[in-house]
Amino acid sequence: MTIHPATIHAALDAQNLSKRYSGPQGIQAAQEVSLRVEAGETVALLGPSGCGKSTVLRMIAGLEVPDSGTVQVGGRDVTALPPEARHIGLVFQDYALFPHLSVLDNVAYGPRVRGLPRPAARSQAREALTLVNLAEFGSRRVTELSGGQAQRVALARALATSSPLLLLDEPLSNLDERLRAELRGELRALFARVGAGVLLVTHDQREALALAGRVAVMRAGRVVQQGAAREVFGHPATAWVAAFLGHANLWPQPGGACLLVPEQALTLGEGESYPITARQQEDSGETVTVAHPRGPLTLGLSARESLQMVEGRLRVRVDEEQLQRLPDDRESVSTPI
Amino acid sequence: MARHRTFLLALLPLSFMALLLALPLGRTLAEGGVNLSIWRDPYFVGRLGWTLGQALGTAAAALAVGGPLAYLLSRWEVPGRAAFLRFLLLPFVTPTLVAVLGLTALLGPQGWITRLLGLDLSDGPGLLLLGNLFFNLPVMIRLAHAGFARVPPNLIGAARSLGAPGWKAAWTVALPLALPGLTAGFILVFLYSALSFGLPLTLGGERYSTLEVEIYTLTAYQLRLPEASALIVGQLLLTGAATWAYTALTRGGAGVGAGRGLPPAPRHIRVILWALMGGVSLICFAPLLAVVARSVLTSGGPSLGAWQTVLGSAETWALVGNTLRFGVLALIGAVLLGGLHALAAWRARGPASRVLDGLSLLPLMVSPVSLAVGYLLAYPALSATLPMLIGAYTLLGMPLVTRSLLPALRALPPRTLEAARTLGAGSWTVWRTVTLPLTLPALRGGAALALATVLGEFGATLVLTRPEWATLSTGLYDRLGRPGERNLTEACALATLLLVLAVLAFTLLDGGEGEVT
Repeated sequence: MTIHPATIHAALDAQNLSKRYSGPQGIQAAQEVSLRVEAGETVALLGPSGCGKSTVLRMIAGLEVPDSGTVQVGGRDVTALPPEARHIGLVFQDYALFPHLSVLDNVAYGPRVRGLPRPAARSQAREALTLVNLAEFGSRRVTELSGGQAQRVALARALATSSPLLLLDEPLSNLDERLRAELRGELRALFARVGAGVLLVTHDQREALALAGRVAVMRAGRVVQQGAAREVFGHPATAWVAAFLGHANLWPQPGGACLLVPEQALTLGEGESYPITARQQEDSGETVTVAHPRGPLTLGLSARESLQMVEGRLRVRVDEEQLQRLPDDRESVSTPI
Repeated sequence: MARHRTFLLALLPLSFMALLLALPLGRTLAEGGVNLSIWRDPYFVGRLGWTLGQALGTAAAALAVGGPLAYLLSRWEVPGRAAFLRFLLLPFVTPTLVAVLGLTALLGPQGWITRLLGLDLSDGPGLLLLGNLFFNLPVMIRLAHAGFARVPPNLIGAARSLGAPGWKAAWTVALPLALPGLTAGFILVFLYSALSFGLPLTLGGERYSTLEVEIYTLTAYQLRLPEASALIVGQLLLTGAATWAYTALTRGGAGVGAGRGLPPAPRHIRVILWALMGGVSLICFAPLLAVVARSVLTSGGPSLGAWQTVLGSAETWALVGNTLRFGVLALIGAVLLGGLHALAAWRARGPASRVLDGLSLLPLMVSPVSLAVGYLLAYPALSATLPMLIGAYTLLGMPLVTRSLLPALRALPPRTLEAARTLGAGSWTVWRTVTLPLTLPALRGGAALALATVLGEFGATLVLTRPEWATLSTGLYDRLGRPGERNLTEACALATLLLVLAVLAFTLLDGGEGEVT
């Protein structure tokens, strides 16, 4: 099943979405969030838990009413429309499969409620199940599925409506590590095949990097950096973004700034030798900290690279050219939980 | 060893039920034999038909109004929602005769609405059906609400985003998933309406009397025991089937969801919600208000005369004293026996647990009138003694305690108890520091319900009581039979007193936890 992308319009164009939850604390869940997803493109909305990214997703899906802002899907303004009129495929974090329906009827639900007769809806559902490699599972009960299978059924259910926009809320967070790696590969291939715009909400930077062409990083209700995935990971805008994306080496500088030492700036086995202050075994090697005169350096070493440690010291050269000076904003905003 | 102790726990409540339930009932049935030919008499077949018909009609009406209302209440927040759900407990604790009086004050021959509209419902079955709805709409709404509240909101969200409009999401997703709760509500309403005694006795008249009233008439006035026995057998079969279906459906346990963090209702939903809530309030709260109002408003204008008479008479205080004394004694018995029963059913494994669970419902299945008659036959020496009356009350209160406590015990996460053990608490300490605090709200709710029920009890009292043991309920029944406005006003004052007592007892015991279904 191929979804024909709307050729001129973006799959999603959300502008200035804001949402404040009423209540004693009055949490600002989203503040002026703007996102654009082109047809056929995958965008990751990345942020720590509680940063408001799921609220943004729910506002786009119409499950939450924004205080202000607009949502356009395929060029249609859907801001005032209820969820059922938006034509968006949504995959919930807990999958939200209907426990009273079979796998096939779960997937056929969308086409059915949109008015397709049962046989046509079911054949559309079978196509979607084939896409996620679960063609044989149609007659199963959803309670008989493993976590990975349930995830793929939820995906098939969203795909069966042929929506031009797919939203995925932490799609892999309920799965174990091995399955996650496997499904990441499958998802990427699938997104390329269906041609829909995909917006993915995740707190896992590896997932974002593996699946998305572009990422938007959210912190405390705001998008703090947006761009091509490689670009954002290679050149984080601030120290907080760098730390959140997994950069281990940030040297505080006077004047509220910070020096980022990217991985590619480090060369092992060259330059001076520094004492090792901490060692930690990992599943794929070892993480060590060396006392560089400008600040501590944390490095992940493979088993082979570990051999370079001699008498508690390690030779490493830092390429000063590649250091990035970033504003240090790590303390400034408290993230609402 | 553990099995041994479980058996000991069950021994006391089970022998109590054998003595005060099985034996008297068996005695009644054995007395003159069961004269099944009565079921060929078109009159009694007609009674059966009407009994079933009014119960089905009530259940259907309660479902039609309560179902949609419960769904909307489980999904949306509207101003007044919490208070409404809380007030819905009122009919649970309202003594039958108070409701009867309220309906009479509004719609009886002398009723305010009757006089206002010139519309007299008191000849038809309308008043009886309204009375049924007064007691049963809250049952339906609370059970259905519990069913809908368990449907994860994400499922509705998923249905909506897949293209289903709100009503369709409710119909295709929420309804099938909440069906056990809805069906349980329907069956319970059916059961209560089919078994109710006070309402058809006082509001149905001769034409609309039910089996329960016939049993009372046959035994108490006509002494035709074989015929009454045949009616009791028929009734038992009926309620047995309904009860069995009910327990099968509610095995998961029911409880009213807290409803935290519901989104505010959009305008059109709010209008529907308020309309439904208003309608239900009219049926469930207006009669109570009418009782209170009628006690101070006479045709000659507002007056506290009735209150002066009622509060000034020694008889009233004797009634209040009896009611409280019997209530407290029965409460102690019901909490002790019902609690033991719940503990035994919880600790037992496998089929034994199932059987104990089912047995706890027996007192609800049997009509108090036929039971009281059985007491007179089985224990002639004890007839008209206080232990007999308190025993009957205890039996009626027991299942309410068990039904409330057992789901709470079953919902205890086993890990918490195990955690307490690994932290060094002995089994008694675990019970005192973990089990009891976690199940106390349910126990209090059950106890409160039991007390309120006993305070308003009427059927068994009517058969077993002696004049000097008159309670507020029987005192009310007495006054209801006397004509004249003055009597009605005084009855309303007395009923207000009873209502206040029941609500007060309930609130004190329950402590505002509201864990009652």
